[in-house]
Amino acid sequence: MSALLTVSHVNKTFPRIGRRGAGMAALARLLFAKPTFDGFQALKDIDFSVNKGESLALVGENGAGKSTLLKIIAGVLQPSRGSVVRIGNVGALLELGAGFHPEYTGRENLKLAAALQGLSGRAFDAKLDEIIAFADIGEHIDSPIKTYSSGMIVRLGFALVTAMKPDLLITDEVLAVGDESFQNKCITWMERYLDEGGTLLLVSHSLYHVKKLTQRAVWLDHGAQRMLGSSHDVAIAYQAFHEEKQSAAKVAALALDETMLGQYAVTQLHIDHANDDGLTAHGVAKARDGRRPQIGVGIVRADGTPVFGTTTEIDRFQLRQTAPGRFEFSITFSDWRLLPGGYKLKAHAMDPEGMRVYDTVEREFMVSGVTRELGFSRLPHQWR
Amino acid sequence: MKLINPLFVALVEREFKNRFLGGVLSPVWWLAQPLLMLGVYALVFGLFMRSAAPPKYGDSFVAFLAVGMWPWLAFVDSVTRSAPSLLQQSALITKTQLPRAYVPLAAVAITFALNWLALAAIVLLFKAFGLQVYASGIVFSLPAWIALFLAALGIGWIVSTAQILVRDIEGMLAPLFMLLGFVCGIQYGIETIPEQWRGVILANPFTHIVARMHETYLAGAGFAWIDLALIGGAALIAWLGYAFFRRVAPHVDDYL
Repeated sequence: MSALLTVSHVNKTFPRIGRRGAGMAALARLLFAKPTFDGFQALKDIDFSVNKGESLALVGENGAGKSTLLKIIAGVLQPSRGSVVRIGNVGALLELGAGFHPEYTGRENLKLAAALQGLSGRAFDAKLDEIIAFADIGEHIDSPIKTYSSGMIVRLGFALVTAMKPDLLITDEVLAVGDESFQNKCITWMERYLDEGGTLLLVSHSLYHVKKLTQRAVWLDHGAQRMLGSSHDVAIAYQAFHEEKQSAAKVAALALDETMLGQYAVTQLHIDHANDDGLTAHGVAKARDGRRPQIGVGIVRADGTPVFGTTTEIDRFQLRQTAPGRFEFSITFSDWRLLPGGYKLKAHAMDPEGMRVYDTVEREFMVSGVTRELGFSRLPHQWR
Repeated sequence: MKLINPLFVALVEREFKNRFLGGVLSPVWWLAQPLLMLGVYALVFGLFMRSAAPPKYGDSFVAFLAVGMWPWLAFVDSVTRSAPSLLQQSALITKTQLPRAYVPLAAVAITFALNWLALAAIVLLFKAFGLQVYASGIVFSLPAWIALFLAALGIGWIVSTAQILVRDIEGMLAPLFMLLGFVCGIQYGIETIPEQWRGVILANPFTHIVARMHETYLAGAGFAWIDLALIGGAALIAWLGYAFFRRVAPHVDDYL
């Protein structure tokens, strides 16, 4: 299969500007083709390729470098080092209303925007009605763009792309603006475009769109390529990263209280194996007073959302004592129907009465797999 | 780079609309402005200072002034418009794949096209009033116009990119052009300059372009070998300007 897009070791450094004399120095540097070393490195050694008919998503937090990379791929921005090779025509929706002039009407703006994408003259005239019909903005097509809502601007930009059917379509989070019915219309169009052999490069914060529309994904983190893989795996890892980040503050707050206790503690916790079928773990608990503690075990999503929890007291299970004040336990979950994603196993040391939590230890694990089902547990169901 | 590119045509159309559909007086102003300047110069140099056209160019100082000044104003106007053109179109060039060289090119091309047409109309008007002008000059002056256009384009490419990095460029153009405009034989015949200063005037390449305008429009001259030299020299300026542009323009996003 031939690569339609090859991104080779792309780096981008934005120079520091605003200092006195910086402009003259920059001009001299550019004229003598000297590289920029001093500045903000927005992209670090990005390297991947996209084959014809493939779809790839770029995910990452705000400021990760997604839009910069897309601009470099679209040929709007130059990399500081590395290269981008594109084959075929590229349709780029880089930003809301990019290239549209607010003073001109939708129809007038379409003409220049279409010419920018290589569509002009009679070919443009022949497609104009189709474009206007897809945009579905009625008589507003002859009003200046400055009177449009952001959703209408997106409609116009996307409608043009539908008429172009480029070899490579690049979209940067443009779907986030349109209303739901237009989003669905766009997604339906993109699915048909992909079915017909189109190649898509998508930036989206919607992991639903990423999983639905793309096969592979690149996760950018602070300008670096953190992960490249199937969009499903990348989406799960990226989601787990976010969930963990959100729960970090909660864990930190809890940790203080738990370490101040210590009458009963979980001193070891190991996950022997974990997959989509189940999990086996074992651990050690200690009690200063030598009394047999109760152990609580829970499964939570990476963001702390509880999935399931139980205790030795509920299950009427007694820990094995292996030395004075030392107790061991192991637990197995089977056939648990967890959906792929990042999870944590939590073990709590409790007093022998099972009334108070003295210590909490947690271990992360991943459940891998490929699915587009939502939630964290697959419930048996039947459609009729 | 293809000149008759549909995208370039679309850009020229937009540039045209920007100039003429923006305000109520815009359609009049583009012609009225050089006419007013011609009137002021004719008043100061022709009436007050009693300047006269060299005898070989007939006896109308206004006609002498018009055919020299109009192309020069086209040059000044196009370079001055080019300087901020990339900055003004930053929304377009930083978000689309618009070939950046088209932006100053569109500004220069439309300015020259309009001014060439305007001078053609004025020459025909002068002729209708019985002044010594040659309609053939409209065609035979084309090499001089092309030379001026190429020079403006090369300089336009340089100043439009340099302006992004060094914002003082645009402000420096007006006094520079004012100086150059007074030392290229627009308001006087070269023969009226004292011998020791004539070399300075002749060292200015624009003097020779203005002289060709006078010869073709006012003395009925045809094409001449000097036209090739002028076009060659101007093409060199355009090539240098484009080389500068190609080196700098792809990186200006970092500074916009």
